[in-house]
Amino acid sequence: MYGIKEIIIESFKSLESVTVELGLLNIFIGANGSGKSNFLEGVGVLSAAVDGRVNDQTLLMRGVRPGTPQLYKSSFKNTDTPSCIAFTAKNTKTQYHVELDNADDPPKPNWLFLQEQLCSIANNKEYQTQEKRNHIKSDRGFAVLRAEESNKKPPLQLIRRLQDYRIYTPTTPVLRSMSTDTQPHRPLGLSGGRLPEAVHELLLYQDSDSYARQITSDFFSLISWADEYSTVSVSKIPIPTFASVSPRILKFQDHFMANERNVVSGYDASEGAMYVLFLAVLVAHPDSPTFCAIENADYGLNPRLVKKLFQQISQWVIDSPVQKQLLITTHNPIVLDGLPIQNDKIRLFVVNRTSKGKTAIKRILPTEEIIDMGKKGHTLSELWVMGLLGGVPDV
Amino acid sequence: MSETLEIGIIAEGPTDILVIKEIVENLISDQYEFTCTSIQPKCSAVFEQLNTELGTGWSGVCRCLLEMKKQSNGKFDQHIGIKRLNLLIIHLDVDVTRQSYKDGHLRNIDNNLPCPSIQCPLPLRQRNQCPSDCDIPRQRANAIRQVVLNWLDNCTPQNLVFCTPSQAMDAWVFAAFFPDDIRIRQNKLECVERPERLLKSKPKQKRIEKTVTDYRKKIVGSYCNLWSNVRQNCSEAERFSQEFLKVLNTVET
Ligand SMILES: [Zn+2]
Repeated sequence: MYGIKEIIIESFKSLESVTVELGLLNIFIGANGSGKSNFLEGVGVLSAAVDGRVNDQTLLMRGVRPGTPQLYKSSFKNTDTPSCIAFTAKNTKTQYHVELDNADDPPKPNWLFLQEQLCSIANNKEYQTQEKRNHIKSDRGFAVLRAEESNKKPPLQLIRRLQDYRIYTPTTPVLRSMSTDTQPHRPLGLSGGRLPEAVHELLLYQDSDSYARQITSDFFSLISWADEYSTVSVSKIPIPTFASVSPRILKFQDHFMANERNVVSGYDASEGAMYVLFLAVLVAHPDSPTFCAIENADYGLNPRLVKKLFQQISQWVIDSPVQKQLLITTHNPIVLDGLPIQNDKIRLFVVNRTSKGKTAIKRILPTEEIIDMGKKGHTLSELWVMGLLGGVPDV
Repeated sequence: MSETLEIGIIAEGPTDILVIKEIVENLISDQYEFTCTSIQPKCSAVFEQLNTELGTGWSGVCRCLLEMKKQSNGKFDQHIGIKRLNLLIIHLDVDVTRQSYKDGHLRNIDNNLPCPSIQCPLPLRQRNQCPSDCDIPRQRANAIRQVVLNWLDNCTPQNLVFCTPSQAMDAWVFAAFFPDDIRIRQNKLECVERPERLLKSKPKQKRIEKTVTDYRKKIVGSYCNLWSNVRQNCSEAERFSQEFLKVLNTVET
């Protein structure tokens, strides 16, 4: 399996030049406005480029706010506006690099590909495609064609993974099927739409997949009040009919309630339960992306559940047969306490703005001192809150 | 891109942090890009409201340092939060030498506060007229530095820079904005007791209130350019600048 090892973003918003070496679970912490979301969005632009077109539609469907050149190109005081925005992604064998530009006024619907390369890192040889030779400076990219024509695993897996990428920002009304998702996708919309259907599919899939079975049962170690969960047709559950935008609804059995009245629907089950299921689908559903991001993954959960949940997600990605890669932003210090960062697959990054306004992203390595402090009962959350890891606002 | 300098600040209060960041901006100029993070003790508002001095003030600095000493098993200089920094600034006003641990609601600390009396030679009433070569501020600054070193069992990192305004940060604010004030031109500003009173004596439109809001409005973005006024009139400001630059020169990037 060739996961994404490294992402480089240049001249995009507050990211003047940022290199991030990814693990499987990648957590980004930082003050509001530090540039965490810009990084996630930068990867989204890269994903659209890999897919062949960068325009409002291909960006929106990835959860990226579309932008004009003025918005996308970095503009720091006393420096010239860059000529393009540039992105690079690597796995151990392959590198993809793209440079994009658009007219200032008025911008064209499609961003222009100034440069696009897909090449082998070992010998720097480019994977070419016949199609490309007819298009110099075009408004479409050819990464997918090149990877397919190469018929080699490393370029194909790099490109597929990047193509998959999208940014999820789940909201409670959508998770509960009370509102529609503005970006509906299979298996999940970007706000968490289609959750009951996706859970239904996952529960069917687990019969043939031991990993999915593990994850669907891990749910019970996180949500202790539930004895069972499933999905049913909305008509079978007594909820106000206007409440659901989906034909299916989640159904839980409450451990503490009397037998006849122990059914809790997705309409009024705890947010925590919905959210855990959302993550379970994202990790274990066969059609969920191999590479994706989740914004503000702390989400109104009890601190103990947050810690346990992130321990659990860490284990899920460590065990993931497809080496799922997640980028997650959070403001909740307790998340840090759930991360086994001594495992190289689990990485913690601190995001800061420098004196010139540029975003700087640094990894917190599991040094001996950190491990030692943990043994003495100190926590990463306490270090973060005190300001000892950086990534805090000045208040 | 060159490596970004990481600077940590442990300071008495939020207005002090704003001033120190401006000074750092002046001293580093365009040489490096940097990030400044303020390091604060853990604290819950429920306890802060019982005693407003707990979270901030000199006792906040003390509690923060002791907490970090505990976290690093007594080896403050080996603390991971310190080792990730290129430069650490610890700020304490020199008038802390007159405080006692009881004032700061701190217990079980060496009995080294208040410091043995270090007084300007003039009687109290004339304290604002100390000659410009009075070295009492320096002695007091040294005393408060020694107190910090005791807190940390002398386990301090090479990249530590003390910021010890005499008698308090308000003197540095005053010197920046009012360098032509007669009281600075003739006498030693650093000997003035309770320098915040100098600021209060100014007419309302020129006054700088000691609030984050007023500091954001009047200090952030402009204090940086006034630092030379302070260096000229306050020996501890000059000392801070030189010690800061000395550490900056040893920083490897
Ligand atoms: Zn004196």
